[in-house]
Amino acid sequence: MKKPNQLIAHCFRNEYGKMISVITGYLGIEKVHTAEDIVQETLYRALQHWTFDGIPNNPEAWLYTTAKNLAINTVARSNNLQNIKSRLELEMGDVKPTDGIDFSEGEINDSQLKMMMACCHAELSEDNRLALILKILCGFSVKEIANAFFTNTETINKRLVRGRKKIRESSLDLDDLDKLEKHLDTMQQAIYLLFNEGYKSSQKNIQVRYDLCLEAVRLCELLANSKSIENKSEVYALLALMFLNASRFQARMNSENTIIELSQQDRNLWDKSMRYKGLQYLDWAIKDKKVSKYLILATISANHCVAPSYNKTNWVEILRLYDTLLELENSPVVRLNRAIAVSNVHGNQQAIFELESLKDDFLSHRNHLYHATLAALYGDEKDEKKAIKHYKEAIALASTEIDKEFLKKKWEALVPISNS
Amino acid sequence: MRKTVLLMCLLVGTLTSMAQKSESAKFMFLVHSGKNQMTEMSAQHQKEHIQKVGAYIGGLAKLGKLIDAQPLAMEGELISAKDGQVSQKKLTIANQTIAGYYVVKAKDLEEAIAIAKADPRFEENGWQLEVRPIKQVSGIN
Amino acid sequence: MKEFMLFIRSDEDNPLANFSLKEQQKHVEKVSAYIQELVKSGKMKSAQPLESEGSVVSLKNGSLVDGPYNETKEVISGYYHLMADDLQEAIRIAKADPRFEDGNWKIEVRQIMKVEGIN
Repeated sequence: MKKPNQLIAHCFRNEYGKMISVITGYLGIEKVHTAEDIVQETLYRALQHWTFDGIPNNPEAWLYTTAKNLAINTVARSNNLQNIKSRLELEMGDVKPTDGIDFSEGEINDSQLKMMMACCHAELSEDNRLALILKILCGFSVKEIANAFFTNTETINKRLVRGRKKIRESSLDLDDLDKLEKHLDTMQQAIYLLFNEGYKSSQKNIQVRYDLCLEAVRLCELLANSKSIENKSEVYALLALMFLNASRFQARMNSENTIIELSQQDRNLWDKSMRYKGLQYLDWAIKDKKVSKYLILATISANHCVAPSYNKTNWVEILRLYDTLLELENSPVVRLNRAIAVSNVHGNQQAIFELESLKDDFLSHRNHLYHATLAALYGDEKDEKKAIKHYKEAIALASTEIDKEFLKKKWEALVPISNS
Repeated sequence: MRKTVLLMCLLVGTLTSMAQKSESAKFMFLVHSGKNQMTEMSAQHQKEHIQKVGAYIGGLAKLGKLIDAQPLAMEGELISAKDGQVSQKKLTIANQTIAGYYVVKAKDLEEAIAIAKADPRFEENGWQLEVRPIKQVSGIN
Repeated sequence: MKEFMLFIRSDEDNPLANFSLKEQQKHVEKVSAYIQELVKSGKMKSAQPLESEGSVVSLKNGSLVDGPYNETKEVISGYYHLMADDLQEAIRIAKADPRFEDGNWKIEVRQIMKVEGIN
């Protein structure tokens, strides 16, 4: 039960995205910036009012009414201006009736999907897309986005400026959602990317990173709830994958903020309700019998989630799933992950053999995990020399301090304690 | 057809802004005095002042314009926070000037200012009335 | 019971203007809960925010002028009308305001000298 007059966890942020989407739908996509200003002002008014009047009984209605009034006034003002400037222009102008702002649940959902489509504009880079999604749909501040991506506010502002420009120029017709399915791949990709950004281990900004994961889930649920998408098995698979991975989020670090490997994690800390949701979505995803990358990844994640321990994990099944995934996506990263399953099924030597044959691929694909995995495998095989060589390379390539520290610790554990 | 739509837009826009105006708004008048004006007046002067201001306030009340009007005790405390540290100090004439307040109903800021200007305390020097609309959201609450 | 006027002051319009939405929401929840608690206990007669725009009427060279309300200086962003046993209690209530946790706020605590015959 929600206590009266208490907001839900991310009301301000979520309502920000909802209101911008609806108002942009009303003003037109080229006025997305105006819509942002209107919503900013709306929440600012809420801040000023509610710290005196208290939170109203229906905070959403309060916000929607305020935003609606501001939007109507904005249009009325610009209409008057135009009227004075030139009657002709006014008649040509694209003016919509003022009762066109509709904050019904269906309209809010559709508008957000349209906005997501606009943010996933084909001509935008993935970085720009994510920045736009976080700013416009998730209500993150520029500083929060910068923190989440380990960069500065300037970089994020540049991405946003470029992104908004593209959105304004886009001929993307947002009036119908028929195009949704065509853009589904790109949107799912952006959502998964957003999730993985949040899922990266980090000592810093853990809260904002966990929020990224939750936002990715929320956006994906919008897709899952949409009436404009007929075949949702992939959407369900992605949701399953994210819920299952997120269920392990809190167990991956200890109180000293160091990484805990899957094999060492306290499985009691895994979030059971998230796991349950993940398995439920997985059930729905499987019904269509349509194999997708997300479905395989989700099934692999589910195998980890239900295993009583690392050793009692169904590695044979996981290896079989990776083999299927290879048929869909034969990438070095998939092979790298598969190698871990290989080591648990066929032994370390076989895994080492397969990874060494990927050497050339990872020369260009600079991934510290490749060397970290090899180092661990060599370590287990008591080949300290090669293990150290790979730890060194992994540390050099690792992009975050927490990864570097973790690798150093593993390296130190290799070296026999010197006799005093 | 298009013209009708346009006309509707303008009409609704105007109606909305009119609705906000005619709904009589509330204003707070903060009565500022540089120093404690009253104590410097002669007893006779004080009495006259009180009578004049009293009549003014009574008049506003009769018109249904007045919601509240109160003088404030000159002593008081100022509690402030700087980066989460809360401190407290006595208010002095130097850092406080609010001698009292009115809460007034008016149609808009213009009318509120006109009401403020009618305050007979302006027959003396040194008074200031800060006229501030009390935030209201039309159509809500 | 005595009545008190608490003026909420700050150097800027709202010290939380540049906070993230998440932080703003947390602030709103804290302060709103504090105010609603006071309303429930009967201590809070009213709490109102003031618009940041306004006007100042004053006497200049013998004539009345209304100038823009000075926004560069400290502003009063709202007020609480409180009921308390004495100044000490009013101060205690003011100090418990969680808005002090976020941003540099000031609260001026003043006792109302009740004038009979009005209202």
